[in-house]
Amino acid sequence: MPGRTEWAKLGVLGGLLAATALLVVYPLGRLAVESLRGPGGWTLAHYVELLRDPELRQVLWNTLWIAGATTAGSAVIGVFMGWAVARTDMPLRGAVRTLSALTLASPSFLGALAWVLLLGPRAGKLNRLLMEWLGLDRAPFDIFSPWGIVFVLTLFSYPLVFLPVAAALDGMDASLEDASRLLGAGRLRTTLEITLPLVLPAILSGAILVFVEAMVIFGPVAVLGVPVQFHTLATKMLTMMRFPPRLELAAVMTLPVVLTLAGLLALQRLWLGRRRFTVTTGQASRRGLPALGWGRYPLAAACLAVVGLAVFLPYGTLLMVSLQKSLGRPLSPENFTLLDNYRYLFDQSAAVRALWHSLWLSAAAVLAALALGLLAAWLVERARARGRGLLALLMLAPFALPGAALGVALVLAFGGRPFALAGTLTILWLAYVVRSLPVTFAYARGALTQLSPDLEEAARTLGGTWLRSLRDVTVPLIRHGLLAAAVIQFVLLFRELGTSVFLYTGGNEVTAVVIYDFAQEAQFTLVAAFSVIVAAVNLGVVTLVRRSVGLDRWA
Amino acid sequence: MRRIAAIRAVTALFALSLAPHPAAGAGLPPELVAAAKREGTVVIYTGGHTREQITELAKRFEQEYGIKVQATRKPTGDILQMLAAEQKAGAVRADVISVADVAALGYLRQEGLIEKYLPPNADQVVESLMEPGGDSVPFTLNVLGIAYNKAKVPADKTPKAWKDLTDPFFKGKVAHGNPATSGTTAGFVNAVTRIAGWELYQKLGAGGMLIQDSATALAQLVITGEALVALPGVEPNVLDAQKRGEPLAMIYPAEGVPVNAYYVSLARGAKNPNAARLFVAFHIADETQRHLNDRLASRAVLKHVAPPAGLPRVTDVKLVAPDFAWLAKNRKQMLETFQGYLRK
Repeated sequence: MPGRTEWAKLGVLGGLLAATALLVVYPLGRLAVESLRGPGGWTLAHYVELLRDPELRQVLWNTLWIAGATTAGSAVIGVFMGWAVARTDMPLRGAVRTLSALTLASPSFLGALAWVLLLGPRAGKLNRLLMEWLGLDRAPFDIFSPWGIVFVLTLFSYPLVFLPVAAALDGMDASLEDASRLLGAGRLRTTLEITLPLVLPAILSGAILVFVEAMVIFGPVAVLGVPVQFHTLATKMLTMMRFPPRLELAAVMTLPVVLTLAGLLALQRLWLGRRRFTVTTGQASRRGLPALGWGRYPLAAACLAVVGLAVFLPYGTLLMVSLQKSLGRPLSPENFTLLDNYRYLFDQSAAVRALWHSLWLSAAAVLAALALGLLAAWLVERARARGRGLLALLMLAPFALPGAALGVALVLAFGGRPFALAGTLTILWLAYVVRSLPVTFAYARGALTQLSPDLEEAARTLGGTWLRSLRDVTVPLIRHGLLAAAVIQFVLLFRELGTSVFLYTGGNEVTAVVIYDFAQEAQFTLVAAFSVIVAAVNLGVVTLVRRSVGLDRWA
Repeated sequence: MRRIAAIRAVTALFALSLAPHPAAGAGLPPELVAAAKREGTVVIYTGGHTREQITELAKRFEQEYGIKVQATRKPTGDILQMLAAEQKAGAVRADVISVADVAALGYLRQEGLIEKYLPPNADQVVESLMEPGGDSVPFTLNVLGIAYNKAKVPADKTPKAWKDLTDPFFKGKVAHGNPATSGTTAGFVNAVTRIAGWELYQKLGAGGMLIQDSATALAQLVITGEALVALPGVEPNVLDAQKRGEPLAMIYPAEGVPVNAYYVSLARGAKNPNAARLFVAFHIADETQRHLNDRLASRAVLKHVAPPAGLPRVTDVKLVAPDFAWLAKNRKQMLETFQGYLRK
């Protein structure tokens, strides 16, 4: 008969499996059933329709190469910057980290809009400047193009690689690198052959998230691609299901993405195989970081350039717009207003309510998802149980759903009896938990693969219960990874639009929905002002969390 | 023939709009008002109000009857998706549903999401705006013209007729709604091609148009200067933007201008059926209609209420309503023709 510890363990893990079934399997199942039903009963007709679509090939190809290019770009930038902030003595390391989290802080359609203002082929401010300086008679950049989409998506996605890679490098024992250096390897060789391979799990799980996200993202493609007839799977299918509403297509479009995701996970497993990446042994020597000498300045400049493109330019643009009375006239004394837009927002009960809702819904969802994600990661990495590949797929599957599809799934699953959650804040919270599982799981797992199981075993040998060893040993040792997950996910939820816009009802607004609503009415000065407020709130929360968890002041 | 008849009918009815009028809109049964007050709440899902319209109407309704309005406003397409999902889950919460076009109304009817309710004064609504299903009422009229950026289009280039848009000056600078996703745009394309012929789109398409899924989102491209004109220019949106100082303006070509209306319907199986009826009736009550006109510059639908001050009188322009019966049969073919003219 199992002892008390074992019972506790079974209980906790049983709870995890039940939660996964309820939150992931059940809604996705409802969606799948929906896609297999027609007027005359069971049918594959909806899938056949997709396969027969004459544009399908083109659209799939568009989707895959946009996702591939975005992933490549994000991986290069993310790994490079991760190394720079965690493994060098570059100045402004902490600022680069905090600000990078901010890139995720606005709905992605808004980032795309800001770039239209900057790089629009006819009136983009940056294009205009370049034309003037270089004496060109045509705009050098056209943001309404596939490369424009890749550019914006990359700037929006690189933190998904950068933050976990930096976190993994933080937790790494420097002695391996020292050994390599002692054996005569140069700095570059050490980095390429020792440091980077050791954080391969973090790089891969980040890259997979970027790839899948880029496949299903709607906003930037709708803003930058659709006007010039460039479609990906998300815009194509969401357009098709719009009128008349065809909910079954939500599942149909998800299928290719889920298959891709399963393929990527299989590849990841094959690649990482039985290699071990244990670098956190609890005996980390975090002696001084290697001094780069004068090289640290160009390095900082490169990182700041990325942050500048991802944060300063778009938010600077939004800040400027938020101080204008109207967007269509240039910023001049008559068109300037310091507070009008902000005052208007604070007079709108919906806007204030939305901020409050987003704050607590996001925080509560991140906490729940962090617990579930960590347990699932532990089960997958440590328990060596059968079916752990499936559990991993289930935890990541919500990422493969476009926002609207997840919204449909949740209403079908929880809208009616016995749950009767349609139109409540609870269903939004559930949606946010489900949305958060992939990131929290992937990052917790990435961190666990680096942690030597010896430590947990030692704790248990010393008489600690399973839960206690998890709480007192495992969690503190991988806190960098968990914190990175929490921060990213919080910021991501704050901007979540696709699912929220489907689930919210009057009185239950969240921030992204309010921004979307203003944008629908072309009230861009208000859109800009609200985004500035949202960014400020995010910046405050991220800074607060980083400090209170006791990370180095600026690192 | 039928088209010309439709044009004449609308024009004639607007001529009537100047006739003196009796006080209308009253005459709601007191039992209805009492029962509605007991329910105390009404839930509306709307794709057919601007934010200003729904905010203002809800506020006034609450003031007048003490009945709370819980409003969810999204684009019509999103409203339909949400309703479809709630219906599948057996959890439709709306008491009143409002949409921006007749095709959406057809969907609601076909899916059994609405039931017939016409307020007592529905006979004073301009007949041609009443939709063919006969179970819902329009409450405001949208003129769909050309929206343009006044700051960037010089006076001598300002279009007066639809064909002026094919001037090389506008090449690649026309933003157009997507008729496949926007019901307003679908009706617009139907009406415009009846006024100016498909040659218009043949030429505009060859010049390269920027396409946006939602008709209301077009303004962003014109305000920022990425496009110079938007089709359709939705009058209430353009006026809203103007009020905020944006350099947007409307053009009403003399050959004819499309119109559409926003509709309100009673949801089938509404949990607050009396409050729902009262709220629908409130939309076309005389006083509300005047308020829409005078305060929100939204055109009224009652025959005897003159258009908002400062707007061209609809008697001066030829208004063309979409041919809903034709659209119901030929929508797909129309979308394909439109798509075919777009430059790849």
